[in-house]
Amino acid sequence: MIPQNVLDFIRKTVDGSHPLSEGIVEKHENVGSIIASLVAGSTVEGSGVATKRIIKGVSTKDAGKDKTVIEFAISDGENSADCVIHNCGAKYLAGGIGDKTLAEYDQIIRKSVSEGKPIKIEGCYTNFQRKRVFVVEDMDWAEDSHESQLDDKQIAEFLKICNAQGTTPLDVMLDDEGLWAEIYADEELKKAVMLFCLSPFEKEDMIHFGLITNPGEGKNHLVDKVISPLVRCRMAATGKLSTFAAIFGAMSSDDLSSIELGLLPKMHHDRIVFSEFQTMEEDVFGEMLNVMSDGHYTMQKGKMDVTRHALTNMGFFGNPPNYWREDQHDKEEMLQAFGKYTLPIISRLTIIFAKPTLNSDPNAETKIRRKILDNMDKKHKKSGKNAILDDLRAFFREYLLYVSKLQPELGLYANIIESEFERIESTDNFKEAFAKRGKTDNRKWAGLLSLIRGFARLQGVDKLNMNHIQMGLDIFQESLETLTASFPRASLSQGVDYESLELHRSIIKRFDSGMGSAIVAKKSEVRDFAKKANRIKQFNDLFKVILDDGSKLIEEMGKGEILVKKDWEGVQ
Amino acid sequence: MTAQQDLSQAFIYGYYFNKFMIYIKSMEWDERYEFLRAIYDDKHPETPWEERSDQPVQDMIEYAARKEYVHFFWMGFTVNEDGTYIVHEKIRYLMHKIKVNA
Repeated sequence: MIPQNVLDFIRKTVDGSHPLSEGIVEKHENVGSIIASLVAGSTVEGSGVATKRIIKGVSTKDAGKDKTVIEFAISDGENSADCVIHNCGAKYLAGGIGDKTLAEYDQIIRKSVSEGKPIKIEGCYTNFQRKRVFVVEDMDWAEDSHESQLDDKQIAEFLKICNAQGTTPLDVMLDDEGLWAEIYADEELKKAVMLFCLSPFEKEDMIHFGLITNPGEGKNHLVDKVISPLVRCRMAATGKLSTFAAIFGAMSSDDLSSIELGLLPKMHHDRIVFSEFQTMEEDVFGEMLNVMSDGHYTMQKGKMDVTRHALTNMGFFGNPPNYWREDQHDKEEMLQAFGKYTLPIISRLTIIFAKPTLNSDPNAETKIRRKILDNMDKKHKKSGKNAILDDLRAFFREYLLYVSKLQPELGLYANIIESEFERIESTDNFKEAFAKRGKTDNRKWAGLLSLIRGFARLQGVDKLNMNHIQMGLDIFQESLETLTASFPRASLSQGVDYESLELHRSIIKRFDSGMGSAIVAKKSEVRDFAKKANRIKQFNDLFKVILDDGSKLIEEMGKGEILVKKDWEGVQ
Repeated sequence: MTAQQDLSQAFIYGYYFNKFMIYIKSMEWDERYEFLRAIYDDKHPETPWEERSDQPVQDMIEYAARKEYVHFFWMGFTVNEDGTYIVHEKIRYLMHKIKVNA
């Protein structure tokens, strides 16, 4: 539960009633007003990223000699508007500007196209050669939407209040009644999502997130209910609806000397989720590799050779390949969804959760169903908690932008982190998952450092402490475990499914007194426990498991008691 | 002891000790004996653990009670002057085990 004092500070900061705050307003690029003025032709403003630039030379009596018309488009990610600027005479086309201004505006457009920087424009629609065009009369750089509206003093005050209340910014962000009110998820997954919500400003800061689970685990729900309402995030659609050109940009069919802006550079400093990525063409992954490591890519089309910047956190949310079955294939096979690029992509993913189900809590199913039911009943809205949720989202959107620019130094702890990485690197799990082609994988080293720095940022500090290292190590190892350990091959060869493994694990956890290599408990109690977890079938299956030494995994002891052995391959 | 060693030891204690205790206490004494003895032997290759009676497990219980587990815990780490350290194989394994069973 979020302490009231913290909630009060957040509310006052958002509405501007706190002495340190002037309020938080929603800032994002928008060309909606331009599109809405199409018929009326009134003068309006809009903002977005310039996505193409086509030059036309004009020399007519009405236009004048040696005049220039620059056609360009601006996009806010959802909509796009075609615009022109020109220095022609008014009889040819209204809204002409001087040569010097035209040159300045052209420079802005070129920079916006190449760097993905948003611009703001003012102008109006008019008719031109049987076309309706938006003639721009004024242009400037748009306010940087990646500049946080929170300042140093507000962040310091927020940290002070959290500290006084015995909580941390990360605790507040992970609270089930706050940003996670509409979806149930495990703690580690929640942390991974918050790291993904940081904005990358350097290539070392990019955090790529792989989430591969069985269908129906609520992956897209994570985007709809947590990520998108909080930070800027676009979802690339499935293979058929998300073309190479849409993602990277392509040569304009109107003019071979211009390259349009794709989704990646549009989301510079933000994030993209590739939903159902297993449906995408393998070649798209191939092109993605450079962007994932360098944060930019180059395109050569015709005479054009351009560099596009895309410091973008990428999320790959999808399912295992169609042929994958829990009872027949190992976890590594899940990742074959990336096709022939599986190894390079795994190497570039900072966090990977590849497991059939995302929630390890035995009561997760009940909690998830309750959340879905509450969402359908709009319970959150009716209880008046929606306003709190809106405030939390507005506040943390700005908080995340602020902390993303912090630069926590690893120096003091370098030897500790190095020693820990060497420990992890020496494990069979690491070798199995990441070091297939060589002794190690240096990208994983960089990934671990990014995670540690990420946790320091989420906690709002630029001085690293041991807790940040511990959290970074834990999530790094968790990621490793999901790839290899928690789904042992030996168990799969026995035909035991994941649910049974999970049930056995939770029975041991629940009834273990910490002594011996087995637990003894009342059969009826264990049965009730399994029933509550909706795993009664798996409970019965566990009685059929025969261990290597020929004994049963669960023995009937008489007097209604059973003995469940701990040392089963399923919990190794 | 250098400042870097101090820092590393503080980290090691904070990150590992609880996990170490949970794991140790979850073991039967036979298993625990083997675990502790392996750590002891590797730390003292010249003077390995001696079985001084026909009840070595009982001897280990008494030794552990006298010295406390923290004594064995530190035997599981070799901290260099520059703050880098090596974690004993047994403790590496328990970190994996604790994580999986957590």
